[in-house]
Amino acid sequence: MDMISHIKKLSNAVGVGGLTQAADEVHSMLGNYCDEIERDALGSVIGYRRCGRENAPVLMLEAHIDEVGLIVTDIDDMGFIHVAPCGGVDVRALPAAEVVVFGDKPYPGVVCSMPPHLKKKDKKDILPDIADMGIDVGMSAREARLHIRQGSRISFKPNFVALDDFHVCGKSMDDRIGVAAILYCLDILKRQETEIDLDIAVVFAVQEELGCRGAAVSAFRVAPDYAIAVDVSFALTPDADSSKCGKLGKGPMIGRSPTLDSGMANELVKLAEENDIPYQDEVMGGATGTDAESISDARSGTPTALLSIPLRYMHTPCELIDIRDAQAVGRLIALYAKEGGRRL
Amino acid sequence: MTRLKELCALEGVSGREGAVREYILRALEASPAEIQASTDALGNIIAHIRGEKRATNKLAFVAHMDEVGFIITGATDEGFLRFSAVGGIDSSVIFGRRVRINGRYGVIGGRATHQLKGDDKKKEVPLDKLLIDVAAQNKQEALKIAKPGDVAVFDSDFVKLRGDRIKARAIDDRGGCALLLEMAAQTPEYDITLAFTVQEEVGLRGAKTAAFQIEPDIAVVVDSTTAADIAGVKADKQVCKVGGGPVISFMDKRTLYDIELYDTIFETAKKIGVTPQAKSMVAGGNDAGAVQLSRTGVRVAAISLPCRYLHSPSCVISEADFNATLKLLHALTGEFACMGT
Repeated sequence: MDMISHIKKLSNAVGVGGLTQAADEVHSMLGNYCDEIERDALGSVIGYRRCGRENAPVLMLEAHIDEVGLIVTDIDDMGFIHVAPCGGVDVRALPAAEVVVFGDKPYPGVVCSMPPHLKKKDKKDILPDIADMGIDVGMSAREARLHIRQGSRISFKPNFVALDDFHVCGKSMDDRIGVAAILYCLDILKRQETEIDLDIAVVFAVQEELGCRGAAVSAFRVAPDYAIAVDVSFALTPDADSSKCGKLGKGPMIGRSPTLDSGMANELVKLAEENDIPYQDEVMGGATGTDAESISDARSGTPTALLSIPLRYMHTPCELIDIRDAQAVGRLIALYAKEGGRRL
Repeated sequence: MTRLKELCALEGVSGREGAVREYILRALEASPAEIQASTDALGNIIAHIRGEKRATNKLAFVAHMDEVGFIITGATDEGFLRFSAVGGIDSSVIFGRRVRINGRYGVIGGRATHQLKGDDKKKEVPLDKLLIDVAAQNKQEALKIAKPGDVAVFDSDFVKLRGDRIKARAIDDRGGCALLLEMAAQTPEYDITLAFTVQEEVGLRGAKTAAFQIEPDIAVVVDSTTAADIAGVKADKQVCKVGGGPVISFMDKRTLYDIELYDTIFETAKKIGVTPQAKSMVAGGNDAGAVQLSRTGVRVAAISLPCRYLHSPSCVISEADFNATLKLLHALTGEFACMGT
């Protein structure tokens, strides 16, 4: 599979809470690898790759397809669109950002930025609240109210680019790159025509950015025996604390936390070492803040592992990743399904 | 708007106006009008256009070719590029943006919002704390991509918003350049001189040497200016409005404008059915500041396109304002060419 062209399509599709473009995109991509694909009540996409064995254990692979964005709360008399965050968007990246407002059709817009001479003198370096930043779509109030309504979703403008052969950047790499990693895994299994002894359930979940909600109900539906969540985590930048970050290009971050299954983590480490797949440890003292939690405590509980892809500039329009990290995640999961699966 | 679109696609940070200059020289050459164009030592273009009639005043129109941007100052051991701003770029519009540098992409950002607490989450990152990420592994690799002195611009395309609104980078002042090229596209009524200047954003420097050479009697600066008619700004602080027509300056931080020219612009606009607006705040400055003080002094006026989010990657103007400004400039050629004689 052509990794970059898949990531481009995934990144440029819009999946701000409730919008279905991203779900439609992953649904169609899953068609290459899954016998059955369904959508649950919240909009998550679930695909099954059956091994043919009766009562085979089920390994659930999960990544989320929603993304941070904004939601329309009001339209003022000058025609500016007022919004609330829909997920934890980085406020610092908003002034002058290009966005798309999903009214009766998509409308390009710009987030207002205050000219320097109008900044409040006492708090010059504090940005206004999101509620006070308008969005300029070039419409009068009358026109805006005709085409856009309260509740309309807003995304960053789709803007995927490649910096070089391995580094790509765009909106919503969090967590489309996780989706790409799982598809890469399915592609390996398909190409190798590997016989594996377990069923794989792929869950591309909604509403992670709003509190890991989609994965909870999907996990209940799938009722897996084991689960691996694939998300992104912080990659080091020079201004960050190196103890709280992984490194871009240094491989999957294998999660260690009280909420994660340590046996699965050990198995993943072992497979990585045996197969020369680079990896990094990511140790968290409590909840991981990912779908791993809501999967692990669904129904009567599921052993769950977390693989994170290092990413810079999370929740901005320019999330930057190294595709080799995602490919390594895909290879590692394929090995787990093959080797580890036999031991399950 | 093809011309404006093409001009905005060119990169021309102050001191590196070459691509814009080449484009404008080619456009002038293609004009059927009789034009004598030359460039000076700093890179300004000075184009004398022979009109249908002789003007009694030497009348010049001035627009600057350069734009704000970034200049690389070095690289960190981790492989990130250090930079300074060229011209006034507010730090609030830089974080989370993509830039173009030597034909490649870079990203400006910092640690994730998740790793910040309280008010730090909405605190602008000062420019001197920001770096450009070009995905280099180390200093050496970064400096292969860009070396000190190389320049970068925001990565932002030309997009039509709803209605007649246009969003692009560098409208300040490719908008003025496009207007002057439209004026040069046919033989004007009177002789005029066009100056496409360099280094406006770093202190009106090109206009100084251009005015020295042209020795105009009257100069009209055609630029773009901050429109603060945006969400959360009261009417008295808006400076001017996008869609409100050409903006006429009476005073800014660099210039006290010629009162007779100022009045004539409003009267002329009325005659031709164009609605102008006064720049309702004494703020900013443009090439007029340098031109007015050239040699023994020059009478100056400034006409600007109202532009929201000036000096950001997402400048927004109105096509109707552009067309009205062009109409006004044509009419003013006739008014100013023989004024006072």
